[in-house]
Amino acid sequence: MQRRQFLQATAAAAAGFHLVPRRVLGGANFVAPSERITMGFIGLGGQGTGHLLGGAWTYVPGGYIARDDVQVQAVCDVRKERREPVHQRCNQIYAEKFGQANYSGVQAYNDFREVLARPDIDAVLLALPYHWAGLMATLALRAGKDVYCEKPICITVREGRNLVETSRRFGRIYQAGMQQRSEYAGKFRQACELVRNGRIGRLQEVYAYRSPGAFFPTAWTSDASLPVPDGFDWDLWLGPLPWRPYAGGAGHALEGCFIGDVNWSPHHYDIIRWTVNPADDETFEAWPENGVVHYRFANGVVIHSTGYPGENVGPDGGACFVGSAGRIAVDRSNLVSYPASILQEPLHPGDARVYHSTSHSGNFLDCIRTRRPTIGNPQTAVDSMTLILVGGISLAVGRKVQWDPARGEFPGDDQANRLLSYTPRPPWRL
Amino acid sequence: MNRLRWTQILGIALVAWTASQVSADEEQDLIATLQSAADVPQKCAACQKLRVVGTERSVPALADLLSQDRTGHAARYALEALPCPAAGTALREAAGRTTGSIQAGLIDSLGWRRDAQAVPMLAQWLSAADPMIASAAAAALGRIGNQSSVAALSAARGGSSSAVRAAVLESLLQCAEQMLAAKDTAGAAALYRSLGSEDLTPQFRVAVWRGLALSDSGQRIGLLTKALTGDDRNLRTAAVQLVRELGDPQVIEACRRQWAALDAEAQLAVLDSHLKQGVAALPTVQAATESSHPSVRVAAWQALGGLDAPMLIPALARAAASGESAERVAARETLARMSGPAVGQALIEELGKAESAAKAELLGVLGERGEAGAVNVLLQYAGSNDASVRLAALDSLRELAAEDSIIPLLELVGRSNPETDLEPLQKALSAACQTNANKEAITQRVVRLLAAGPPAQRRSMVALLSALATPEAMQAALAAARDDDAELAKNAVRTLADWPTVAPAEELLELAGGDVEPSLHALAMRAAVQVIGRESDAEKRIAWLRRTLTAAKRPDERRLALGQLGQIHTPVALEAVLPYLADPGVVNEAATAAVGIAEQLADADPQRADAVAAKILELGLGAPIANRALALRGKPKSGPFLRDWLVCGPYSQANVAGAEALFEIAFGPEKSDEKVSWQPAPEGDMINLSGIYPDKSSCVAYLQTQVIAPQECEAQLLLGSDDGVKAWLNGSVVHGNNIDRGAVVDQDRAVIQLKAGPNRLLLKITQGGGGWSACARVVDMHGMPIPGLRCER
Repeated sequence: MQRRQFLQATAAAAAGFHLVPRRVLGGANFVAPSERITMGFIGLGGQGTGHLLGGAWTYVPGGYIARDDVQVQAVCDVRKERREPVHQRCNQIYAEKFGQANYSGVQAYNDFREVLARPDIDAVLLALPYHWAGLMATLALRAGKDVYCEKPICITVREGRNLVETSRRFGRIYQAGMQQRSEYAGKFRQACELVRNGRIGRLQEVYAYRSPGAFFPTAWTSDASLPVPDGFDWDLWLGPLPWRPYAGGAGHALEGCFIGDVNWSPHHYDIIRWTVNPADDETFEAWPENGVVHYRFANGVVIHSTGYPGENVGPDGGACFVGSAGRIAVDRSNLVSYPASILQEPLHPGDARVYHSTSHSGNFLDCIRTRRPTIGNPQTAVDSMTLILVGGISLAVGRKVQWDPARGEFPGDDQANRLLSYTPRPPWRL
Repeated sequence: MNRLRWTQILGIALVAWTASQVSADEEQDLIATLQSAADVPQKCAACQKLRVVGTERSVPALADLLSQDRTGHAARYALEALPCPAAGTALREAAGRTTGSIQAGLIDSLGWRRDAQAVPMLAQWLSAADPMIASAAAAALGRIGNQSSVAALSAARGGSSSAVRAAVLESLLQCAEQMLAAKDTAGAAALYRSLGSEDLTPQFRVAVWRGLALSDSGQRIGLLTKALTGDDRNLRTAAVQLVRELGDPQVIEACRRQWAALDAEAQLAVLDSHLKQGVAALPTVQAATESSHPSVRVAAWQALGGLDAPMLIPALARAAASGESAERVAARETLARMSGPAVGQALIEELGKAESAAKAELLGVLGERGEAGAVNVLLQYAGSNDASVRLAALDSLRELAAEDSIIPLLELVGRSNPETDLEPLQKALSAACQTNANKEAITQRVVRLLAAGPPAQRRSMVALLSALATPEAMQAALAAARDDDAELAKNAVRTLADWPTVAPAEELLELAGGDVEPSLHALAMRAAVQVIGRESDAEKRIAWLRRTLTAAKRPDERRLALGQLGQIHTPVALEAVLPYLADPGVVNEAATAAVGIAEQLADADPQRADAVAAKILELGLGAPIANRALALRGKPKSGPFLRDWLVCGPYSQANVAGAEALFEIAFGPEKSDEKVSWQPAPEGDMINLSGIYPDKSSCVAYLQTQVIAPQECEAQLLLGSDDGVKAWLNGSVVHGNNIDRGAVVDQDRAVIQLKAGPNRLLLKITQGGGGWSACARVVDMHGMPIPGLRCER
């Protein structure tokens, strides 16, 4: 490593809080059982099992189950076909790891409430259909669990606000699955710091490559019906959504519940908000134009939900930041600047740095121990999600809306304010 | 994983019906729907729209639906959002005459509306026999949060079921928070205190404790220090978090007084909180450097980097030299980035006292810091008898690249250990030579060294010539390239390849063209191409590369030159490349270069680009090049989709999740010996596999059809898929794209050879989650439909 790179790396490391994983200090990898973080995994689809067991896509090598500082206690899914194989695999992994042929310490659950009720579980990882993310995270925080929750974090502004309040009330640690802040070799962090330090001059425009979105059902319910597959708890999958017969569509979301994109846009807009760094009370407006949403912050920065013309870097979770003296485009695989010299000059010792994390799951687990805020803490995550939901609401009402973050509403805009929440189906409530 | 591009597309499509387009006049139509015999989904859809556009006029019709099962939920969804008082009245009335989940929902809505008029009813329902009703009432009262709510909730604290007790408690916590937000700290503290007297579950004990510590400033320090040093793990954890959140100087001071009794996490929290106050944190940092917890010591060393604390540099230097491994790394990193002149001086002073390993660490830090004033000290240690010390000093001298280190380093060359020292010496010298202003004088000394030194020394030091890059240095390098010592000659050619200008190109080509052994010839050719790349004038560079192509003896040498020509995006470069499309040894490289240039020229000269693409397509090269050429020929014209398919699946494998992980796993249709149960897929341009196999993730399905070609021909297979796709034609793989994406028509292209008559086309479509579909077309090489081509299942 060259001296300059070394200094850059160390300076960046120092910008954050102090964090020294116990295992680094002890020498041996062994972590006493009493010091392991006990976890439950709720939602065992591709994302949930990726976190738990590792896999091709995952940025958690070997999954949480391979970590010495984690003890998986529970797995939970409303689909038996998902739950049972994962349950067996987890026990098999621990049987091999601990040399106990009949290991059965991992329990399987259909109903997540039983997982939350276990006092011996410290933390849960939630990888859920969109409509469950905000509500179940709130219930988990309320049950005293620390929570890692996959996007979209929340589907209404009310859910988001409630999530923040509940995490504060119970003093819990929460990490949003907006892992681009930590992963992908720090490309997003580098782009953020360069822009924040004025390397492209004054930031003027941002291209987001994704439409924002919001909960906005085109039809509140339907009567289309198919037999519910064996082993699938349809009512629990549906949870807070209006009841309807099972009709086959039960993946990440029910078709027709959302306008725009709430699934991938969190990655894009989280990085954008991190980089634009508006003040907590900075107002902004959003408006649709031929299906494209534009935002304008009080400081003049404009965001477009499309790609920068001719720029190939950005569609994969990224953005293109355009300033008065150049531009930077970033996504999971690439970081480019125009002129190229912007990237060639490293940050200076006096430059502003942002929260430095190189492992999103590691940051979550370390923060459980140290109780410092995570890089994807509830306020940060909900602020990013609110940016998306406000844009989605502008799509829903088909006109410009003004957002006041301090008041948490669209001032004087009764129609838009009506889209800040929905009514969960009892017994579910926020 | 699923990017749900369809969601996005759908969302944009829905703009066709947006809320603003429902005018006030249409409200009456929606009301009429509610009052009609329309089915449940229609009435619910009307409620959904009235949520956004409804007025007081809609209230009676909505209210009529509230007590019904499914429409009740939809009507409540609408009414909860209507700001008019009549909506509240309707919700209250309905709540009074319903039961079960419908009533619970209505109560929830009253809470979110902060309906103070509902408090007496809600208070009554706190003692309802149905825990769902009592819990909902408690939650609603918590949201309303006025004095009456607090009174009602307080009276209900001994509730019957644990769920109700939890709801009451949380609502009281919420009321206390509202008092705190309204600056009524005494009221909030009193409420928290009263809750603390109960037998609470751990999460509520923590919440009440937090609230009390936040609201009662008089007790805060006592609460925190007691929790931090106590045995209650939950409270200790909560206290650590609160210390961080508050950053309160008085709390920090109180914690410092209890320092030795704090566990590692608590000490770290105090340290981090104090560091936010800058240099005032120094006493805490000092205490942390002596902590019994290694993690705290590491954090302390790291923290010093951000503070102006020169007095602690000796301690840091000692830690960098002799601490435990993590401490050593932290201290060293801090030393490397600390600012101020005192740091370098302290490091030098510490060097004199340090042991061998410590010396090496400290010498390394001097280089990392770029301590220009340490050159003499480093030179002194560069002559040390201790190898680790010597090498560390040389490495730092390389980092510093100081002009005044050159002569002393050259003097060291003759005395150095050829086994271990020549390479680090040469690197240190190269770095210094590059920055030196008086390169001619140094060249003379290097040339003398090369003339007189032993073979190992000459072979190593010849590399210095390119760092100097003077005319005399080039002559010396060229002479060395023709030396009888083969190793020296090769190293000389390598240093010529590193020449910062194009100057040695001519001589390198001459050398390559002469009677030299093959390996030297190859090296010289490679070096020539490399330095030609430094010619800034494109015309001249092309001329050089033409000469190189002529002089090249082997295909790999021509490939190098073609690779460079491909980087020059001019018509002249293209003309230089095209003849090599006829050279079988380099046809792929020539085509890659040509298509690359043509892509760049396409906007300005589409005809030329098209002609080049056509020529490349005639060559029948592999898919990557052919696909790029096809793209240059313009988008395929509209052509029929293959609409008739057989489908089988879904296939999955235990513990394999995600579309990309499944791509290479072979299932039944890929195996000759496995029986597969095919069924007809619904006919369509885009085959919706989600419709055939609903609610599946982490699996694959296969589609199969017979493409009936009128005659043998070359064609393009155009594919779209969600997620990845692999294609076999007549049993051979013709395309693969392992990807997680939404489907778009013609996303992928593959060149295929169709035989006359039936051709079996098999597609494997992977599914991570969400949407799952595929489409395929077969068109001719110009993107046009092939007359007579059809498909059959």
